[in-house]
Parts: sequence; structure tokens; C-alpha cells
Amino acid sequence: MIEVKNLTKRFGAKVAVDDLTFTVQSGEILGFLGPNGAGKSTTMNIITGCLSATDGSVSIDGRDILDEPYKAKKGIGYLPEQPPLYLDMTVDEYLNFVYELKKAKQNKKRHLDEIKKTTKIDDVSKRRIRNLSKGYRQRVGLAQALVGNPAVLILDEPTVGLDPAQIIEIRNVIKELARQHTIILSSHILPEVSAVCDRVLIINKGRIVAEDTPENLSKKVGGENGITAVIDGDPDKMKALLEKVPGVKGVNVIGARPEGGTEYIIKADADVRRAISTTVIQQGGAIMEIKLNELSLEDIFIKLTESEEEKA
Amino acid sequence: MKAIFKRELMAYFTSPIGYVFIGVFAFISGIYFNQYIIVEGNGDVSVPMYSSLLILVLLVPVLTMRLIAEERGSRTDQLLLSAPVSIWGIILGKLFAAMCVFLLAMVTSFPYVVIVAIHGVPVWGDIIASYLGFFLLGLSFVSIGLFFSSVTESQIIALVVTLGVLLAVFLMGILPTTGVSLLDKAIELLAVTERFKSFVDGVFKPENLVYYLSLSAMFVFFTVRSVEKRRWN
Repeated sequence: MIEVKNLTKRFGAKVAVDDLTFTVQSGEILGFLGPNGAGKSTTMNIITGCLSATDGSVSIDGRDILDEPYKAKKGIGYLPEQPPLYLDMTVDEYLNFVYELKKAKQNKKRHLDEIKKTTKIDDVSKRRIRNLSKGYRQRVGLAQALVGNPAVLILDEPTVGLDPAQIIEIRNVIKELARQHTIILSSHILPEVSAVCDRVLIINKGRIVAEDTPENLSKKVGGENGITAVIDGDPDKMKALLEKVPGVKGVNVIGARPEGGTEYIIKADADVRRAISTTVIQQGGAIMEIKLNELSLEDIFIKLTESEEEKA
Repeated sequence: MKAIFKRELMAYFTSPIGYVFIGVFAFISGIYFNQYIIVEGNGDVSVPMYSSLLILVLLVPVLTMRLIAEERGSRTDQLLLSAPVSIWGIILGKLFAAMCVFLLAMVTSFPYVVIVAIHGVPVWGDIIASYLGFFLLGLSFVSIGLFFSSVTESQIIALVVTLGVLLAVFLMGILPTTGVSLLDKAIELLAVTERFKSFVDGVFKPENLVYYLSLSAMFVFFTVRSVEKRRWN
């Protein structure tokens, strides 16, 4: 559906996007993750035709954004980082304008009413955008992207600046939309991406540092992070015992817990919780707590971007 | 293009700019018309029309300053650029909307023509030539303002630069000849307002029509390039 090939964008000497290649399948939600200034917005601006690439190509449904801009752009709805709202218009006037601008073919009234209902802005449709709160403005921005029912939605940080309740609401709207649209969504908030997206693309300094499902990413980087266990028993004895368990690579004693037991961090190749618990119990110890340390996307993110920096 | 035209025209009248432009123009040019036609009892509308030229120099920058600078400032240009419209369509839509407001301002002097037609002997050729010249001059000014609105995000800078350029062009027209033929030729080319004189005199020279139209086309082209260039930067 969306094909990005060797995309490069330079601003003078600064490389904002560096040889980016990826595809998005029809119906997929792709999360675009990266710190501020990673090149997320630049990439999105290029995909939507607002900005031209220094090198590389973008095609939407087989149509190149430069060779067939009209046909390609008709299939895209874009919500930029700052929603492109005319503050002097009412919500209805604005959506009417966007409808005409995009030369949409749907039944105007029914189509716009539907969009207003989906984005929950029907109660403010007669108000000037200037007087709307940030949350409503963001939703009007989203509504604008939906006009003309484009197959592809590009959403640049759709939840930025919203309060927690609004964030959840917008996320639900996006999930709802995913049934009929292919979506690229950018964010620097990691739980958001893992909550909504099928696949995550982590970019840093204009390059892809990782690409996978949120779960796989967690597994991939999380292999070495080990197991935390709180065990009741003589710490020296237990440490020696744990080290003998097959698969265990190292044991760190963290210290005694006030409520009893000692905390250990066990490094292992695989999930050895079962082996650990049987060993400990056979030797008269007691397990108070044991868990696999799964990396959150935050950890993955920091790890990946740090290792990138080390390489450079 | 139609959608942009409609929006721009609406924007002129939801903000004070459209009213201010038409109102101030009608008021100041009204003083000229009133003095010359009503008080002094002359029948020639082209004279106060020529006097109104300076008002255009001062007012057109107000009309054009926001056209593109505002879109860039508020990032609404991203909506236009990602929509299935050409940059030409965007720019022409804006130009036509500004010209529409300009035409409305021009219409405010029609009552004086009516007065002359009733109480005097109107020379229709002169009147039509004057209005045509005024319109063409306005088109050139608006195109110039449109261009300077596209080179900056700041409406104030667009206003000041356009005002400076239009004033300079106006002054070219009243500069004495230098005697250096190349320099005089250059000044003649730059004196946009001077060619309006022959329209006011009731003389229609096709070269002047071509001059104004090509000047406008040139600045519209520059505007399109300037918006395009920003995409490529």
C-alpha cells in the first residue's frame, strides 16, 4: 500500500532522513517511533507530498507521489504535528472547505456528519475553531484527514498535548479507523505505539534502528535481561545453588528485602524460572517472588538508540 | 482552486481586512471624487482616479500580506500541499480572491460615474479606459504583494516589504530623467504606475495592457516558484 524506497532528505549539510526504506501493507497500523528530531515529521511530510525528498521515492497504492501527485494525494489523509486549522472558520465551514479542496465525491452531508460522529466533534460543529480547546482542535484535525475517505492515514503525533482521557479516546478512534484504513502513526510516547500498532519502526537520526511487532521487539532485546527472584534462605548457599542451574550465566545478589528473603538478579539464556524454583525448593529454600524482566518499549528504545550512538 | 478562492474571500470578510481595505479606499478616494466632481463640478472621473493611485500603494500591502505568509505561519500550508490541488491552483485562487476585494473597492466609486452621467456629459471611452487601467494596476500590485507574502512567514515583513517596493515603483514614475539612456529605460520599465497615466488620458495602448498582464504573470510565476522552492529547499 505504502512503499518508501531509499528516502533521503538533506537540509543543507544536515541529513534529516537517511536512506529510509519500508513498506506498509494494506490495513496495517505502523508505528513510527523516535526521539524528537529523529526525522519522523520530515518523513511524513515527504510521504504526503508537502516536502520533496532529496533522493528516493514514495508510492501510495502503486502511484508515485511525484509522478502522479493528484491521484496519490487523493488517497492520503494527513494530520500534521500541528493540525492545519483555519482559526477564523467554524468547524462546519472548515470541513466543507476541506471537502471541496480534496474534491471528495461522497454525499457531502452524510459523509461529513459521519466523520463528525467518529471524531466526536458534532457538538461543536457551529463553533469557531479559534474558540475550541486543544483536544477538540486535535479532533477537528483528525476529522479533516478523514474527509474523502482516503485509504491511507498519516497521523503525526495525534495525541500530543491531550489529557489522559482524551488520549485514550483518540486511541480508540484510531483503532476503530484501522479497520478501513492503512495507518502510519508517529509518536515519541512508547506505550501509545504498543497499544495501537501492529508493527513498530524505530528511527533515530533519520535511520531505521529496529522494525518488528512490539512483542517481538521486546523479546529480541529482552533476552539478556534475566530474571528477578526473591528467595528465602542463606544467601551464599542459594547463590551457589542458582549458579548450578543449567542455562544460568550469572547471579547477582541485590540484597535482603525488609519483608524477608533476598533479592537476586539471574542472567540466563532462556526462561529458567521452572528449573530455578524446583532447585530452590528441593534444597529447602522458599520462593517469595519470581519474574521475567521484560523490557518495556522504553528500555528497548534507549538501548537501541544508545547502541546506535556507540557505533557512530 | 475554487475551494481556495471561496475560503480566501470568506477570510477577508470574517477578519476586518476586507472591510478595512474597502472602507478606507472608499473614504479616501471619496474625498478626491467628492472634491473634484461634486464640489468643483468637473465631469472627468479619471482625474480623481489618478489621485487614488497613492491610496493603492498604501493599501494593497494590507490586502496581500496575509495571503501566503499566514498559511506558513499557522502551518495550514501543509493541508493545501498535501491536498490534490496544484500549486498554481492554490496561488491563482488566492490572487482571484484578493482581486475580488479589490474590485469591490473599485465599485465604490461607481456612484460618482452615475452622478456624472446624470448631471454632466460623460466621456465613456475615458471612463472605461481609466477603470481598465486601474484594474490592471491593481492586478500588478496584488501580484507583487502576493509574491512578497510567499517569501516570509511574517505578515508584518510581507507588509513592509510590499509597501517599500510599491512606493519605490511609484517614485520611479515621478523621478526626473537622468539623461543616461540606459538608466532612463530601466526607470521607465520599473515605473509601474506611469503607464496608468495613458489609460487615465483615455489612450488605450495595447503595449500597456501587455505590460501589466506580463508583470502580473511574472510575479504569480515567482510566487509559485517560491512556494515550490520551499518544498525542495
